[in-house]
Amino acid sequence: MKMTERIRKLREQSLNAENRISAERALLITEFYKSGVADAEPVPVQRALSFKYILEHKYICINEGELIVGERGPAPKATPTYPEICIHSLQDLQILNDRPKVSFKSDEATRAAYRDIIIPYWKGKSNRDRIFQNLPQEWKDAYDAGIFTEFQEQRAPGHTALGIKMFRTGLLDLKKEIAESLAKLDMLNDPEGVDKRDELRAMDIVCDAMIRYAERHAEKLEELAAVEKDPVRKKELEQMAAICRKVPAHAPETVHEALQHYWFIHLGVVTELNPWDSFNPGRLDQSLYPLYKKQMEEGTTTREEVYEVLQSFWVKFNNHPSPPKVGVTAEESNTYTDFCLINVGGVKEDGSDGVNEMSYILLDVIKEMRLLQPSSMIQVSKKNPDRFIRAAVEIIKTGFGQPSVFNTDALVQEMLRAGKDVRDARNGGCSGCVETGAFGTEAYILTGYFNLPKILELTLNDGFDKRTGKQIGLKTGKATDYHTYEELFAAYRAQVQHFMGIKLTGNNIIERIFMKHMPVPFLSILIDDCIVKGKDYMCGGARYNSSYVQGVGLGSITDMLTALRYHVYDHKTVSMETMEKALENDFKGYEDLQYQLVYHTPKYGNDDDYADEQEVQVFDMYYDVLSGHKSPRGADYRVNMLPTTCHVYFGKVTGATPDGRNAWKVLSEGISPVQGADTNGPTAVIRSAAKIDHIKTGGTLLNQKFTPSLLSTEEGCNNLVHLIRAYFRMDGHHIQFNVVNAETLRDAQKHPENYRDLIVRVAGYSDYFNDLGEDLQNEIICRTEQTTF
Amino acid sequence: MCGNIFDIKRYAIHDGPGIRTTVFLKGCGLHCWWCHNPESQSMGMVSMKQVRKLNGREFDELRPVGYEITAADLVEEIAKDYVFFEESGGGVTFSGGEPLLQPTFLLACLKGCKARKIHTCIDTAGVASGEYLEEICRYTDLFLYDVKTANPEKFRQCIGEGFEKACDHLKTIAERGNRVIVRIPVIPGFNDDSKSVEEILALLQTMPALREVSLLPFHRTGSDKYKRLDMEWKMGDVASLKEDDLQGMRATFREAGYQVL
Repeated sequence: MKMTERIRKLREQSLNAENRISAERALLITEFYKSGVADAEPVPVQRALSFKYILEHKYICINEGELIVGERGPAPKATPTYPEICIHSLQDLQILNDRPKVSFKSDEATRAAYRDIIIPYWKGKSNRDRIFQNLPQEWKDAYDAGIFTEFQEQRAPGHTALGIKMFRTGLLDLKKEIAESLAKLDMLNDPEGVDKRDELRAMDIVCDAMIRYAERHAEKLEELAAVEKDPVRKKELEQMAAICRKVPAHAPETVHEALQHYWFIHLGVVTELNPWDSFNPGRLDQSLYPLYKKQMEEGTTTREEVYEVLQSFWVKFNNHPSPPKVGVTAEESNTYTDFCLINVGGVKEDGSDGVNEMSYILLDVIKEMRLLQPSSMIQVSKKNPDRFIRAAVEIIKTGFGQPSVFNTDALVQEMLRAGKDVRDARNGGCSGCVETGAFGTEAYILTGYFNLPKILELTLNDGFDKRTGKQIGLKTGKATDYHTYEELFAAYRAQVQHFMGIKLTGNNIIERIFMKHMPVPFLSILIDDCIVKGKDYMCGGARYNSSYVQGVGLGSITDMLTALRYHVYDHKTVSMETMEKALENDFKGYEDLQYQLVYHTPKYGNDDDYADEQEVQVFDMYYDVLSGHKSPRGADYRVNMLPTTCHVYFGKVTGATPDGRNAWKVLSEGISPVQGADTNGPTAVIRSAAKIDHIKTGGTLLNQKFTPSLLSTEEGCNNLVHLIRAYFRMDGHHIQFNVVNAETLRDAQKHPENYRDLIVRVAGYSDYFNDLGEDLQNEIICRTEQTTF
Repeated sequence: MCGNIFDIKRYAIHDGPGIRTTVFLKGCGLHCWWCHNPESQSMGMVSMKQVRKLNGREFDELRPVGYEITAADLVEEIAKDYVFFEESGGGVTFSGGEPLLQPTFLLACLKGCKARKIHTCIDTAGVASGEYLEEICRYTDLFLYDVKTANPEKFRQCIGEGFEKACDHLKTIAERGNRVIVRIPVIPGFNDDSKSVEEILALLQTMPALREVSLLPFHRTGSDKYKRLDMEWKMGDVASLKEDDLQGMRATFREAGYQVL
């Protein structure tokens, strides 16, 4: 359905708004803490009162013509900061302002506020300061060497989505639950009784704060209605005011109410802190459909109205860039995307086909809006009809990288394997890039990327990092000391174990800091069973708790090990001495060897068992090393394989590698083959990718690039459906398609001005091509373009 | 049972229904000017120049084209994409070269594939002795049968010997009830004039079992290979055809009652 004129305007406004820093939130929270009013309160109550203070004083922004109201900052793309998590220096603000990609402008007033008020108060007191104060030197050395990254150093743990239940529940209902939980507390015998009481008090405060915040919107809307000349808009403003007086206090009863209800909740979560993966409405078609159906039956709405309010809702997400990141965190996630991933399709709680009329409506909205945010995906179960996938392919083929495609049956198996109840599993999905979660019941926190290829480089150098000049690994020997492939791999495994130990120790220190200093009572009321347990989301209050360390560069590490096994050990075509020298010299003077390594060596992604054996070996080892550990909040550590943009950063810290890759060049992303190494077509890639056991993960990411010609016919589109079905029969977790030809991309590099709307799939998310760094642009161009044969 | 092949292409989606794996058998008795697989024509191994770039530097190598493989190994290789075949209604296509020039090997492969319930297709010009043809037909679900011209003289001039054989085999296959799609490569200056089209139409009409026709526009993609093989590209600078260029011819066949794919 076509956009109405006002939606077109709102969309334009969103696209044209400048990304800038707003000091509003930082100033309000500074005022609050400076006032000392809550100094005597326990931490959760302090946090709740600061939340209340912000929501009471924050500017209420209502954009002309919009149907869903509420902004994270005072205007679209005016982005708040979180000084209690990470305090930006004036220099940071300058860098954010000036950097060519993913910039955030700041004006003189903002800089003055930072200089005179915000920095003087928070300097040395932010969570980031606490974290770096507490981490051991070996962690810092490994971090500087680029062995791993740390998600929580500038942002807060989030990684969760709203469950369907919260679309049927109002905050007043939650207040009742909180009161019941308080009443049940055993203050005499429960050693945690006091903590629970404090937490529940905090939860109650945030409910009131949010209801009041919605009322402030109602008041403003009523003011606007009073002076509105256009009778149609006047009525609309009055209706919107009524909605804001109803939700989120009460459960929504219409599609419009449900979307406004979610939006207030979303604003609450992202105002309380800056969680990684902002927040997510999750299974939106499942949540909205019963309301839609009822309204249509009663004749109280029309499809046109529903479309328009959904489109207005879509614009809201696009108004919210991810909060500014600097340093390594900016490198690993260099994007405005705030990783909100709308799930469409999948199965219902009882396991039956979940695709409904709303699923198709949402696909239409995705197609028509064509916005970077929110991101979208389809869940595909064997129970869903082909027609549904086919409808998604119609959007995929237009080449803006959405929706990505997930395997519901695999997700459910992954969650069952992790011990979840089958209903919770079926109500779940994926958020962020590709992360599996039980929506509304799980805290599945990503903690950082892990550089698998770099560790092989260290293994070949006796644990010494040449780039930073430090001995950071174990002294397992030099390359020439490994006489067999098995010896080499055993040493590699020992190094991975060593660095994983360092990473997890750091994680646990950081998690304790968040548990103690950064409770999130608002997020906690939304996720079961925080209220029942009287426990914060940060402290293990969720029904299920998982923590992830994301493996990066599976394709690269597989090809590196394969090259060594093939040339040095099995065929002895190259001696380890020669290989060492070639790597040391970045293949200068060894170009013929490099040619052999690139073009005449088995490669992952071609359904070649010789190469794929190393893929499975590395994956299983990584799984073994990480599994079985528990975090302080009681979470189980699990693996997933996704990179965001970290494969670029990890490449920048990794020297020449035995697969013929030059020093500092990009590594492979997700579980995709090394860029250009897959020459046997998509079925071979899929077969290779399916050799690891996806069910043991919490997400894998497979990127495939298709030229438009491959999808120009009915038959071509149908074959894409078949390709997806086949991968999913093999338990593949996720696949996404970039449909664009290399020539277009090259031209876009030369004439960015003509391609401002060009969105491409990066890795688990889409981004504007122009906002990507040149290296990442090049990488996307060189990723294999699958063509017809 | 060994045969000579020179390539296996997976996710071939233009060589029959669904997602297919196309196996290119080596050797062909014809020498069509427009052939886009000239490396396939000789039965023995040939070398093709290949220039690849790495960091801006060019590396030349002589790549051998063609290798021996047993029917059992080939079937194993084909079966790797079984799940894709099943999902899409695809299968294997034996192309070439001229697959009928290695009839016993082809037959062994077909039997192996049918034993695994894989849909089989043969892409042929029919220029072969016809040995085992009857048995081959029994294990083949679909023929893509190239008809390039119905003019024996032109055939001899531009393509080679074997026009009568090609016609006989087509007749045999069609009459025994196998599904056949007649594929006509439309070559500018060779068979795109109305007389040529009428001749082809007349030939097809002598075999009433033939109902499906597909037209393939000439393209220049193979021209580069001629240089790399030190062979002469006789098509000169004739431009590739676009789908639109075939509209008239498509209409002719449609009007004559054929299903044009």
